[in-house]
Amino acid sequence: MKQVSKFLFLVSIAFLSSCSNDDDAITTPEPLGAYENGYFILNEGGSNTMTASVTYISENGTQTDDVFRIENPDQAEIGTFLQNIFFDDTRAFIVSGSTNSVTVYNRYTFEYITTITSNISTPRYGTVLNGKAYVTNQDSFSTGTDDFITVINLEDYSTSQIAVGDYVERITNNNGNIYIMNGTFGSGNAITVLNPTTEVITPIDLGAGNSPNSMSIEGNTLYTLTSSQKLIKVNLTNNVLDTPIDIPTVLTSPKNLDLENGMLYFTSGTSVYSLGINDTTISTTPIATYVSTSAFGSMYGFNVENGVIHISDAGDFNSNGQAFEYSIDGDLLESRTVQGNAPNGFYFN
Amino acid sequence: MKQGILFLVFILVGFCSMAQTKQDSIQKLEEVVLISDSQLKTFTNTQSLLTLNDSIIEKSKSSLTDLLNNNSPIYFKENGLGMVSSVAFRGTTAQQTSVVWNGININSQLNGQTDFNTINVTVTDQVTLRSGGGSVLYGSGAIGGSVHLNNIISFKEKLSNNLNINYGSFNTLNTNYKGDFANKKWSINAALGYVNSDNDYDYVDSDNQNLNGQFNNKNASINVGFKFNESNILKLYSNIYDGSRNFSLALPSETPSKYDNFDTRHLLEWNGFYGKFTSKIKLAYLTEAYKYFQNIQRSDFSEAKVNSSILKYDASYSFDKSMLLNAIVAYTQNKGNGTSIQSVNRRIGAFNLLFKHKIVHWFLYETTVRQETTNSYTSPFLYSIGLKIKPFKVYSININGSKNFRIPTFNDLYWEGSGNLNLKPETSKQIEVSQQFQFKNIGFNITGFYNDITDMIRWLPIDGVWKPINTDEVVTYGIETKLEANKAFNNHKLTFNSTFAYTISENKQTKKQLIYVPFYKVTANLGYNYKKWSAYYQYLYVGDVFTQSDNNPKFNVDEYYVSNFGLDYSLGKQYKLGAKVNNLFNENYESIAGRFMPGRHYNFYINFNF
Repeated sequence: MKQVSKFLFLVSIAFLSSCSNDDDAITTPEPLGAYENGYFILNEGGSNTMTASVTYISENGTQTDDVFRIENPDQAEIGTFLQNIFFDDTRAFIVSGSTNSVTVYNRYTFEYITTITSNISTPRYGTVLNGKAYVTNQDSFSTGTDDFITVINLEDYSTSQIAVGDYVERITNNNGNIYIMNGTFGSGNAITVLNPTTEVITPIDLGAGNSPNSMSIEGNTLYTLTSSQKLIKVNLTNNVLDTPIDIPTVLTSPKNLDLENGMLYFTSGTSVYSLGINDTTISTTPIATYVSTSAFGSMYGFNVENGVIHISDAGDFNSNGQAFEYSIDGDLLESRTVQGNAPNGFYFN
Repeated sequence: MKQGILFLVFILVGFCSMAQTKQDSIQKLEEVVLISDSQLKTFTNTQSLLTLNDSIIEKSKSSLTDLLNNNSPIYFKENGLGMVSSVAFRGTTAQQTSVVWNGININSQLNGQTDFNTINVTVTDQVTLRSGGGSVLYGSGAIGGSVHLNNIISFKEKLSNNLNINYGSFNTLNTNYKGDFANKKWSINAALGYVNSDNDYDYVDSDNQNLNGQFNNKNASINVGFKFNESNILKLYSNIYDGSRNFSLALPSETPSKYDNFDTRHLLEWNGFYGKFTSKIKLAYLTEAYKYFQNIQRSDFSEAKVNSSILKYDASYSFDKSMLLNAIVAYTQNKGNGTSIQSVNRRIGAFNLLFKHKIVHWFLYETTVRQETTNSYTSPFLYSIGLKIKPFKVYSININGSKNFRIPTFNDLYWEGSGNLNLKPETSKQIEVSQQFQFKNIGFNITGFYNDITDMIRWLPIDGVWKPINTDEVVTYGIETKLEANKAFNNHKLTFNSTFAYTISENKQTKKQLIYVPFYKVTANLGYNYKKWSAYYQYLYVGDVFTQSDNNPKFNVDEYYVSNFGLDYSLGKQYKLGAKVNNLFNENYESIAGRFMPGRHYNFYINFNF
């Protein structure tokens, strides 16, 4: 028996080494950087710019705070009210609301690359498609008519604008189109489709009062949660709305819709709820609930990834934030304090 | 011979006591005539006062922030030089310090506080700091203490004109004119102030510059007194302030914004002195208005304004020299509206009763009560009681306890979509014990205070909307000291003033120090005068402050030491030339995180009297 296993072992070694000789792709790749795996927590920051930061959690759970400052000690501050991180293959883009900027880093080493400030005013979220970044801008908060998209050419970081004329917030892409959520704090009630080639925009009306607060796309369906307690599905092949699903009224202020492995997840209060993408009713039994010391900054960031529920808590918005990992069954796996204010999102490398 | 001496002594004593009586009555009249805010004299016997006169104001002309920061225990945080400046007095919030102009509370009805960089001190004759509770006398906000801006109306013959031109670094021009005319019937003083600054200073040890920090303001003030006869005096106080400030950027690509404010204050009063009875009718009309341009490149702005009318009747009766009873009835109407505030009309009626009794020459007590009634919130019963014991000529001890409040502001109550009509006023119960030592050339005061504040109003995001709620309970306590000394020999004159504050301001629930309240603050001023020369040195130390509610020291604003040095020379009676070096040691400091203050900078001034 021993002999046999030894033999198998040797054979497999030979096989592997021969493979590696034949095919470079199989060699253990050079590590891309200290932040190659794991995930980032974006700490929005308060009025003290230093409280805006990025925390890195490695695959084995080691926490590193203040990533962009550690890696770039001489770099000027990037601002506060950090709203979003988005990526392309090699770069991470951090959106700062206070400085009307998008700061570009290497996504694996967090080495500073550049800062983009032209054609940006009160930026919110971004997405990358075919070598260009698309960033939503609210400009003046008081009106949606001046809202626009910044298009950043990622070769030379030149920028241009596309007017939208309706509240813009979250943005994503699917099948070569850009999808923009027209909803912020209960204003706006549409999803806008942007054709990146023609730059033509097409609004999809969600109906009066149905102001979207989060969205997810899978296949050809866009799912969005509205402030009017509805889950609305949009067929993206013809931009037609399915019959909305009502969210039980006991689940007040549903938000944070996320789609993962054929399941939809969202939050209400300090609890997480889920349903299958084809379900037509919603259970009022939470799959996970966490205890928040703050009634006001709970579920400030939320994401489900690889069977783990990530929750962040902003506390009183003026102290270190907290981040939690829960299993899909609702068991607490990890809780941590981040050096920064108001953690608002999780981003996976 | 013995008889003769005795007789002489008798005469002298008699003369002295006569002089004393006469002086008393003069002083009394002076007190009531000179400033409109007479309670600052009559009912502030058991709390500590710090009066800053012309000579001190002259050394810190640039703003009320600069003046008080260098001369008082009040802590200031400034969003960069000349930008929004708010206070923490005895560890309280900016809304818990009231600013009182000629006896009228002028804190903004909109946000409940005064921005100390929107007050031009050059049109003020006297700035007085009253530490501790004063809501009975001065209404909302007098919890940490109150800052009194007084104009003096005197019927002492006078004719003077003064022009001061002050120019300095960052193209800063601060110029003011003051004209005084008075005879036995009329007293007229007029003042004009103009300040303009590019305020584009370089940060210390950095390549960055203060961007979008320019500001200017114009201020006009006229105060007229007319004496019909010894018993009846009519007085009018007016002040108009027109300011425009860009808000400096913490980082270059921020959206540049701008803030304009226009405030007017008028007070008409008729004082009647009828023997033991004094009657004052006061009519005040105040307006405040601001326009905020969130992006100066755009024409759209948000705005709000409040017009306040106040009718006050103040009657006092002195039974004899030892007892004074004072009753005040006031009616206030605040009418406001704005971009985010629907048109509101708030009415407040207030009734005050004040009593002072000096039982023996070394023992005095005073007690005051106030009840308000209003259409927009429930108002608590307010009171104060104070004792003054002066067992020795050089030593006295005061004890004062009071209940005070800070009412919800227009923004708290009426902000569209956020205003909370169920708010209660913040209330504080406080006590202080103060000891004074007064020798010929040196005076020292030490005060311990304890302040228990409940129902603190805080704006919190509730379901995505920021709303004000009564939430925190805070206790503040600490020690304040004040030292004043002077010494003259030959032609040399030395003066030294210093204040020290140790402050704990703790959230009762979390046991954490409130953010932006330093444990320690020290000021010191040394003045030296020789013939036509005078020189002065100002020193300020502010300890570390937390910026985080969990007191995470990683995000502290560091302690700082700032020194200024000034020198001036009088050319005859008419001219004075001077120069001042600010931040002498080029300290790199900030009072708010990320809002750097200028390094060493200069100003030069010339003063004409004609």
